Amino acid sequence: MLEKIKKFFENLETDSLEKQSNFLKNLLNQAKEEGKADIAKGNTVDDLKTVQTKYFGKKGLVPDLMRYMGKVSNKDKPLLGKIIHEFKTDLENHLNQIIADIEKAENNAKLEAEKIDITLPGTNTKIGHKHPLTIVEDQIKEIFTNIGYTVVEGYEIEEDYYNFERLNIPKDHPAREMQDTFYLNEDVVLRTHTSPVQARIMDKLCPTLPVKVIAPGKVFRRDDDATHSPMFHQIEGLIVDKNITFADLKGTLLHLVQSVFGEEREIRLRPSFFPFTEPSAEVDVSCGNCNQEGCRVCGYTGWLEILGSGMVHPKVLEMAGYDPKEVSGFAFGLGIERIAMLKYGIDDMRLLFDNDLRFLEQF
Amino acid sequence: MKVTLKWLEYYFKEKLDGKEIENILTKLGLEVENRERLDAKFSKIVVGRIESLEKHLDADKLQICVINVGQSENLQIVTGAQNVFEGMYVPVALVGASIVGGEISESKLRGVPSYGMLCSGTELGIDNSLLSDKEKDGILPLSAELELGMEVSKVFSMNDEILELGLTPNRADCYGIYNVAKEIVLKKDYNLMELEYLEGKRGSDGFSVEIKSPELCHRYIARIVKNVKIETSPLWFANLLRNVGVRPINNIVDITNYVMFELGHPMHAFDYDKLEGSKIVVELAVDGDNFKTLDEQDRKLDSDMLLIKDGVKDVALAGVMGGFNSEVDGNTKNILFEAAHFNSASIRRTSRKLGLRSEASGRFERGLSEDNVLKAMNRAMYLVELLGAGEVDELYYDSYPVVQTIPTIKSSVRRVNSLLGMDIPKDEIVSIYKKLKFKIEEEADSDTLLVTPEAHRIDVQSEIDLVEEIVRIYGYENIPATLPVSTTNTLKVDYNIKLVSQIKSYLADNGFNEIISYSFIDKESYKKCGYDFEGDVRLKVMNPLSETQSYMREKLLPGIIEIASRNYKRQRRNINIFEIGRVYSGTDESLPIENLQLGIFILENELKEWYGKTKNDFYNLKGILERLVAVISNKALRFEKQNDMQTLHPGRSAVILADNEPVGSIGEIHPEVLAMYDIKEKAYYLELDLRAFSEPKIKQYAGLPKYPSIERDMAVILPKEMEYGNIYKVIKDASNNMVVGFRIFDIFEGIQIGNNVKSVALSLTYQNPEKTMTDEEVSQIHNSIVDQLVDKLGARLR
Repeated sequence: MLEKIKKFFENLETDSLEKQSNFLKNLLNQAKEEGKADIAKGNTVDDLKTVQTKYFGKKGLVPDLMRYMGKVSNKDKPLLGKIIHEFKTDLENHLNQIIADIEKAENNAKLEAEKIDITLPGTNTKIGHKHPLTIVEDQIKEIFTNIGYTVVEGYEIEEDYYNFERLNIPKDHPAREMQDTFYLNEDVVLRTHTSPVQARIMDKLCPTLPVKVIAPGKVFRRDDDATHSPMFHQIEGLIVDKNITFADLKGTLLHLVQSVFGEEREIRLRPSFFPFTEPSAEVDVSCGNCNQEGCRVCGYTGWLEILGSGMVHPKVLEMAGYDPKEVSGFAFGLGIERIAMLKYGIDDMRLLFDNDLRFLEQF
Repeated sequence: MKVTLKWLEYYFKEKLDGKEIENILTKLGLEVENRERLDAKFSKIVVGRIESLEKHLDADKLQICVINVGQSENLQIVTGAQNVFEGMYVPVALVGASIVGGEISESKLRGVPSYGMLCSGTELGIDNSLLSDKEKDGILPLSAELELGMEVSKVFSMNDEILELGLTPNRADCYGIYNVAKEIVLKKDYNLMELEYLEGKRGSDGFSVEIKSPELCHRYIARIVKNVKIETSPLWFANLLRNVGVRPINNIVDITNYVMFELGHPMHAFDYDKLEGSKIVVELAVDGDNFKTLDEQDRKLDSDMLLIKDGVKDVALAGVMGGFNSEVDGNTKNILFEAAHFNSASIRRTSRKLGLRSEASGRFERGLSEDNVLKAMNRAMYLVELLGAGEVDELYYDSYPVVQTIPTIKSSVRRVNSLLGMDIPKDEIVSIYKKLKFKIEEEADSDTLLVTPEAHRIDVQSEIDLVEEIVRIYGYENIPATLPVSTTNTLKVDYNIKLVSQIKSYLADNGFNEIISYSFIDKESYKKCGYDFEGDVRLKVMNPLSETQSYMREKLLPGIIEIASRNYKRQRRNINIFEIGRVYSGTDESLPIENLQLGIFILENELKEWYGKTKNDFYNLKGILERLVAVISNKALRFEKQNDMQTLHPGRSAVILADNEPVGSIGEIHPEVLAMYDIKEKAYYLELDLRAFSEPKIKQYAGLPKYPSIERDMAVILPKEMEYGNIYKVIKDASNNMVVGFRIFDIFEGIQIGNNVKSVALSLTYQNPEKTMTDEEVSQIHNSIVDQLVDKLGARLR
């Protein structure tokens, strides 16, 4: 083929390429076919590199052809350039395509060989769990911080004065019997509720308004059976500001209950008594187990008691330095264990303190 | 407090529905904790008479009775009871009857057929405490006046419902059933019967009452009843008492109990002829004196206890229990009835000290109205006449040194509504006060009402008490639900609260389970854990539930390891647990210090996994700590060996220092401690004082390095005991601050390199913040580091 091309150019007269171009194209088409045949014989990238050198290397066909550019007349140069370029790009594209195909196939084969058993378990997949009481406490804290309450904490070992007297429970008050108290000495108790935080925070903030806090923590009472633990957890809520109403308490508790248990649940307030709130209310949530048809969980009443609440007693406000004619407030306290048990269907409070890992890992 | 439907119905023309009454009372704040039928546990038990008795031939203890139950044919019933006799009226459970404990069917006892069963009191569901000794013994004897075949449930009025009220301390008045009935008409338009009383004349001749401690006894009334006939009360009267849990005794005692349950006011009856001196004196006891109460116990008195004396001797412990020396008995001819008002705190202290609590003391403790004292007396006298128990004297003797102050309270309609967030019209409020029988005067300003509560409502003292009355009667269910409109809250949250949350999340995300253990601790557990607390003042609970819960914890480990051990005993081996909680330590201040701590426990738990072996060890725990501290703090950690610990392995434990302050300890738990808890694998424990981390981590941008870093490795042979901490320090000192990265990638010991030595391979990263380091510059520092290791630590290059 080289010979034929060489001959063609030797015989080519000046400025006559245009007339002869078909012949040249023909020759180059034949050369292209030969090239493709060479390519087709190659199986590996290496084989094809050899083909590449044969056509495009320094001594290959394409540089050879280019050398004739210097030999033809100026008029014929553009045409010749075009013909060579076409030949070159066609062959080159074809070759590159084949190389890419082979490379892809080789890569695929390599990846196929590298395959692993993706069904084996992952390594180091230990996961841990927060205690269910923490989960519930966090949830309730979040509900209240979202509506502008600040989380505060108090002492677990508290003065009798804050635990009782500041909550309108003087010594000898019959309400002291509602809570059997652990004493460290005559004046120091294990707090029986989170309510002393009310007095502590009001002391700190008075006369500033609002007082708007939520106070979680451990509390202690002398009781130990399937429904009582000598140590348990409460969350206290307190708001003191101008124009706080009993209706606001109801609305806030409805928001709490529906956030924790679901929008479909209802609440019922019942008159009750706490020395530090008046009016006071026990709050029940509609039983989610039976949709209020009555079942074992709710004692066939359709309602589950969940918290105590009320309007802050004027004496409690007064003792903190607030004027009950100017400001009002509400407070509530709920047992986290109780909420956790209802929320997760736990039937024995002792499970929460036994810390059996088979139990804890369910949360 | 028990209330029966029949007792309540006694005051109404209308028939009451148990469920409805339960709802009404609960809505009013008198929570009904339980409601049940008294005869729920039995049926088909009738009155029978024993017509004849004969011994069972094959059994000494059995008798064959022929019983008349008012039907054409008598029944043959075999009984094992010994108190039966011919002509005795007995409860007979017919075939098919239910009794407490089962169902009755035809049976044969030692070959003799028996068509039913004779019943004891308990088989009818009557509590033993409600039966007299005679009644307790075998088959319950019934009155011979009963109609044969009558349902026994009717005899005892047990076709009744009992409501158990959980009364709040402010409603002591509702320990009187008539006051409960008054509550019902607040919600239901029923006709409440007015009670009948037998009034008298206040007298001063022939007898006197002297109160020497008026602060403890505001009022005392005595009234004499002559020519009494002590006998059992009529059945209807006894039944009322029995059904609320009081044992009928005799007509006189039953009357005092009845009044106590009806009006909530306790009374007492003395045998008048056993009193001397024609007077009653109320005064404090003499320290150390003895007094024999009705229950024949000798009680040691002190000078805080209030006594009733007759002018010669002590005759009753005021409000708590009467004296044995003045007890009413079968021979009593004349009675002195007492109705009084005693100081609630004083009664509580006395009954506490003596461990003597009664229905009476319970009511006095909760507080009563002085005004009601006369009512109680007059009601009792009415009952004496009603039951024909004796002749009531016209005179009564009343000492009333401290007159009850019944407040007149200003109640603003506007204030009621502004506090409730409601709009209750004035008329409605007035009508609520009227229902309550509170006296009202309207002020000219059309907003203020002057309200005077009924005497027995001693809980109503101030305006807020009236607000409560209005809303509970108006109905809590009618309160709208709104959300507060309040000013912006700028109170900042304490960082520690966030810190705890962050640590819990971090540890849970890293495979640790959170536990919560009790804040109480057994003193012994300190010893088991190797803590030496001998001689210290420990925080002790004065009245613990048990010895094992009698101290406030000063360490988390005892609680945590106990829980680990419990899980271990359940074959659990994957134990990665932590607790964050407060520990306490005593101070001279009034309150102890409460200190927030973190404890982490991991069990070694070596496991073969498909990808190799895994196990927990000291370095895992240390890594967790280092990462945790890097997350929460800028503080630099350092670990120092500490040898005097009994809790942790002396060769595998350290004190943790953060910025050179000790903040906790870490290490393998001492094998002796683990043995105390039956844990047979290695375990590791970390204790961290979170006070040291109560400042948030400060984040500050530093310029990015502009010049490349270069890594160089070295391997040095060092004495086997040489600690990494020393190597690190030498390198750091010699690095001229050009070493920015430092990694140990191999530690090797072996005979190839000699005895008592180890080879440590390190990779150092050099970087100069000012310029690109040349190879020569790096080599220079690298070599000087090697020189220093050789000089200071006796290293040689490998």
